[in-house]
Amino acid sequence: MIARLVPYFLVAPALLLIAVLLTGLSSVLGWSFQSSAGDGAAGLVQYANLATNESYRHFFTYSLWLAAISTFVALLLGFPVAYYMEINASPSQRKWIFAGLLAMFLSDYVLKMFGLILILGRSGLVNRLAMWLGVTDAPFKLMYNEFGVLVGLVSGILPYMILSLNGVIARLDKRLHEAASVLGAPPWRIFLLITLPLCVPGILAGTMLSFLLSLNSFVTPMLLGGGRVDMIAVLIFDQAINLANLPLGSAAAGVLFLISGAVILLLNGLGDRYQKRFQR
Amino acid sequence: MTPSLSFKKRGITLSGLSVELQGKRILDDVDLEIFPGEIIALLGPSGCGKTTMLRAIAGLQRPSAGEIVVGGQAMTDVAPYRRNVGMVFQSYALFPHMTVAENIVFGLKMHGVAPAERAVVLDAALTMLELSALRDAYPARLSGGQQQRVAIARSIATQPSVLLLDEPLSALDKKLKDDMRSELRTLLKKVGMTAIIVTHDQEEALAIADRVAVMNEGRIVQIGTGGDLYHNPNCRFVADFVGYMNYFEGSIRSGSDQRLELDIGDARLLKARSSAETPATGHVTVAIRPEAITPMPKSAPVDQDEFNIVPACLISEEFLGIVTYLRFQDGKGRDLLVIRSGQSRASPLRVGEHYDLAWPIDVTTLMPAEPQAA
Ligand SMILES: Nc1ncnc2c1ncn2[C@@H]1O[C@H](COP(=O)(O)OP(=O)(O)OP(=O)(O)O)[C@@H](O)[C@H]1O
Ligand SMILES: [Mg+2]
Repeated sequence: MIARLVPYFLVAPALLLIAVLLTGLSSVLGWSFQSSAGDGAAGLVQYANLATNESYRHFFTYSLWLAAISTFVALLLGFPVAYYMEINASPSQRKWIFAGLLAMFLSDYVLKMFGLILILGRSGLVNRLAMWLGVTDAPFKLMYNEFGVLVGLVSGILPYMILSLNGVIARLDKRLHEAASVLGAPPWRIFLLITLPLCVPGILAGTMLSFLLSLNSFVTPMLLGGGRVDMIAVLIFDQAINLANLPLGSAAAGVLFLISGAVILLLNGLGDRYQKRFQR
Repeated sequence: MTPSLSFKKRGITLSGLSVELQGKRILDDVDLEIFPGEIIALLGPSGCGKTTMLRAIAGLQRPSAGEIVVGGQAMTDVAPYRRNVGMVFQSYALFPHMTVAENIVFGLKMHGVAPAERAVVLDAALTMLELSALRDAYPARLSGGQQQRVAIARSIATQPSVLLLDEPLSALDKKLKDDMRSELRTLLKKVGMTAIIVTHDQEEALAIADRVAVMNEGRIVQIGTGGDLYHNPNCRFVADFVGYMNYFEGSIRSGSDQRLELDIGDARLLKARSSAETPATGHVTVAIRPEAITPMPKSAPVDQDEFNIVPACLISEEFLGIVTYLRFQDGKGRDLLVIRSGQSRASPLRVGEHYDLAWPIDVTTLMPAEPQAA
């Protein structure tokens, strides 16, 4: 009797947590259907407001754009690292790279961003170096703009991207490359025709994670964008907290939620269809 | 198949080829000369370096010393994709994300063969390997034997002048295996490909190859036609690998230019023909194939000048259809196997009786004695 209840006890805390989160989420959704005047009128006013107002719309299109760019850059930077780590690195090199990734994972997000501020700021490492070398007289503006946010986003998602790619690259069968090589394929064709297609599941997983993390990111645009870079989380925070317009902020959160869900469904669907073709 | 790429017969020469992996010598100073269009079988126990030799020839394994020459061209520093050498991998190594058809035409695409011509070669390969029904299937859905046939089709599609096959038929059932090996030989000979085929199966080696190379511990122990290896093995290792052998350890008592007399203990002398290779004195191993021995009734007259005779007791008899295995034991407790064809059951032998085992002096093989080799 007790034994049969054990599984329920074990899952209960997690279920409770999920229930609390869902309650929060649904109350946010509830708010999103209120009018800003607080007169109790319900409907899609807030959503219509978001859709018609050019400057609100910009937060969404610009966030999607930044998320896409940062994900793409993370893929370009992450793939060689993951590949090197799995294929070429000696065991001790592997250990060091892994330790670096782990440090990036474990350190607090805010801490990481402050680290970047020390590097990118007006009198940060990069600018001091550039001025010392005489490359420039006045410091570059590397922060509180798009560039700073992109650097922040990329460094935030890079470890997720690398670890998503690691799995598929580790499972690559070296003999497939050898077979292709013997059949006359030079290295670049092997990469395009064998390596890349077999890494697609990992690329999709890493892309999904990275894209969502970037899209939903709040600390980065706040700290490295100085709140001046239009990302959705900043809009939500401004509206809901600073301007006390909880309904509009909630509607923005609702839209962000929908976009994220759509991205998950799309990329998961693509991955499934791709793999089902040739797996048992 | 229509030859689609410029075809030129090419021989293979390995000289002093050594491969070291993690400080271990996997191939040890191998010399091998394969003539253009010749089919060589590599026979040897697991781990003796057969795959490693193929990998070195294909360019997948860098030799630590020695030369690889293919078609008169030094290959040691040539990248694998420029060698135009075909290979069937022991593990098949099919591309999992490509269909059977896509796998087979991969090499043709890499060599820039036009689509129309690719289609012709593909159809021929699918037909030859009985894969037509599976052309659009992905490798994960295929049985081991089907995957193996796709691997063979993929490797011969480009008609490389040198083809390396690493146990290409091991996953097929007996019937298909027998069909495939004669078809493979016919194809290789028709196109004129030079081929090295690795196998564990001596029967397959003898059936498919012009010459057989027996390997052990990274070296080629002996190379020759099936007949050479069977009738004149140069050591116990080869003799045991190609069929079964009976052995006596002995020492040379006296030798003339034609004949040797060998003392095998038990006050018994055996005679053998001397040849250039046989030592004049010292310890030797005497080897006799089981089918060369005839059991005779004790009283039967035997020409002592032409035959060796060892008396022995019949211990057991196993009737296996085509042949019968007779196990004897001689006075010194040595086990002797005699194989007789199933027909010769006219005069049945009785277990427990003593017989004279006789065999012609001509088929008595001598080899250097080995320190307790298995
Ligand atoms: N990458 C490697 N590193 C170290 N040793 C290796 C490596 N690859 C193979 N070996 C060793 O080299 C030896 C020969 O291997 P190889 O695969 O050539 O044997 P084989 O004759 O093909 O055996 P089998 O009949 O089992 O396929 C083995 O002892 C194996 O353990
Ligand atoms: Mg092998």
